[in-house]
Amino acid sequence: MANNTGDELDDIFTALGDASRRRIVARLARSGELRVGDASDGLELSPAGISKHVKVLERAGLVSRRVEGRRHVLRLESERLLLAEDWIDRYRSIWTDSLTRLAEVAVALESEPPDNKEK
Amino acid sequence: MTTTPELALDVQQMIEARPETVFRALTEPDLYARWFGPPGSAVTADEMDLRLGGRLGLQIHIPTVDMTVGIEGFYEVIEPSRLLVHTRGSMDEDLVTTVRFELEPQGMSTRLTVHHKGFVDPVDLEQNDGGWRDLLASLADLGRALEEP
Repeated sequence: MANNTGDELDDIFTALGDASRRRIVARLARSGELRVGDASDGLELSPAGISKHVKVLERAGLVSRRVEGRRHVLRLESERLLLAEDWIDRYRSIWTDSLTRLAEVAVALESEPPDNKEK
Repeated sequence: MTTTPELALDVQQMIEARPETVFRALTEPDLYARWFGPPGSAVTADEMDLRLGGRLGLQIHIPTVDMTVGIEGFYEVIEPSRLLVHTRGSMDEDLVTTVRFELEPQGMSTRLTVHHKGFVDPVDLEQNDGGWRDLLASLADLGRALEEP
């Protein structure tokens, strides 16, 4: 994996590390596209606070924004979530493979002639 | 930025060997190199300084892309034949994670559980309460569904 992929993942995980931002992402996941006001409805935040959160999500590439007249419409960029999901799956698969080999190594060790008196 | 929200995965493996033997495979460089790493990779354990705060240094060579990745970590918990915890950071991903190996005797066998989690910001911890991976998974599903025409 290239360097910038690691940085991108950092941005994604950082963006998802905040409950307000996860709320916005979850709402967009349900609706696809929403005006900023609807996506952040119910969050006890100032407009400036909401704007800050949206910017973090945009920087992570999780959300894109387009301006329609006075409306700012947010859209979930779902492939970015898949990138994070792939990262977890990759590690899971490496561990599963590695532990299978570990089991073989340990079994082989036990069948070696004992070189100490332990048990 | 190396702080990430809680990110965790659990993998379990039954091993037909005693915990003492499994623990050796987790802590002796020659043995470690025989099992750890992505398929097809060649692993060298440069350093396994098995004491609290001691350094773990690995080189993983992946021949298919002719790339070597350096990994380093530090031991945080060492309970021989029972528990081993160390941090893990790689040079190509700016993340520090924690790997926990738990060994439980099952007759003459061992149940090994690996818990691999991302470095947790204490501020984020209370907000995550373990559910964020589920959230991510369901969001990814939703995302896939949204992509369908």
